[in-house]
Amino acid sequence: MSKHPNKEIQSAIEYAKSKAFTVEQGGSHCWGQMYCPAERTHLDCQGGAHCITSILSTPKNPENHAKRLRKIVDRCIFFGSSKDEGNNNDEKREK
Amino acid sequence: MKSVKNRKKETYAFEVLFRLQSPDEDPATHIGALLAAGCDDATPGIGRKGYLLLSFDREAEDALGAVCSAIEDAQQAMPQAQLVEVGPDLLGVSELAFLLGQTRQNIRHLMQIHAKNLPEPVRAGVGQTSASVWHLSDLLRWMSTFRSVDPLLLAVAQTSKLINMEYAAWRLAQQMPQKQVRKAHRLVQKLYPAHA
Repeated sequence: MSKHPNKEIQSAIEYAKSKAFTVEQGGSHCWGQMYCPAERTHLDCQGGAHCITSILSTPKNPENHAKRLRKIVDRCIFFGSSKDEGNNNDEKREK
Repeated sequence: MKSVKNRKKETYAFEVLFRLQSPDEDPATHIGALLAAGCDDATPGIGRKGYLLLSFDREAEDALGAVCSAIEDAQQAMPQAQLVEVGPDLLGVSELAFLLGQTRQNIRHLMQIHAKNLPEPVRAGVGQTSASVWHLSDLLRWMSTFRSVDPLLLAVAQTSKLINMEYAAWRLAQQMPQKQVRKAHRLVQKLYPAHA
């Protein structure tokens, strides 16, 4: 896989991969897609809305796009870095 | 007083959810049109069948301008798609905690010590706060009485609530006889007159 032309977005992609997201290159009008590690759509995770996130080749503001990608990874209830102490069994799933 | 020209632009972060014409439609087919319509400041998200979420980071002079232009641009790119809702608006304790970079326990604790002015949830969860849903703007206004709140976040929260409620009122008006809508409107105005 070749690197994303923008350093910040490439860094966000690497962050996503480090959190068990799968990143695939290619697709129409995008650089690629990032796939959440969960096996199916989970409505209680971000409304089931970011199972697949499009990574743009030339977003208007690459820095914002990179931040967004990181935010989506962080919000992921299965492997993301949600800040929580204590009772999480209704949200976290063991792999 | 001279009017302020060239108001400073800020970046507003918000989400617009669309329902596609058919549940089997591939949301990715719209990306080209969205980019062409000026939505290259959005990050598309796909998950639930038949839905497309656009997470915008849009520069504008104010939140209302940012959100309205985003909806218009996206709708133009996808004329058959239907607006569902704008966010951040409705949320529970967990999402609020994430949004503010806090723990749920932290937020629940704040709700206990500042219980007096805690706003009514839109829907109260059975038993405790865990399942309750609030308007983010209501919670942020409550929070601003005891700590500083990001003004940009408050602005998008208020704008999201406003648009969602306007949209809901419009949809309702399509379903109910005009007479009933007017009567309900008059009742509310009579019981709760607008502030001077």
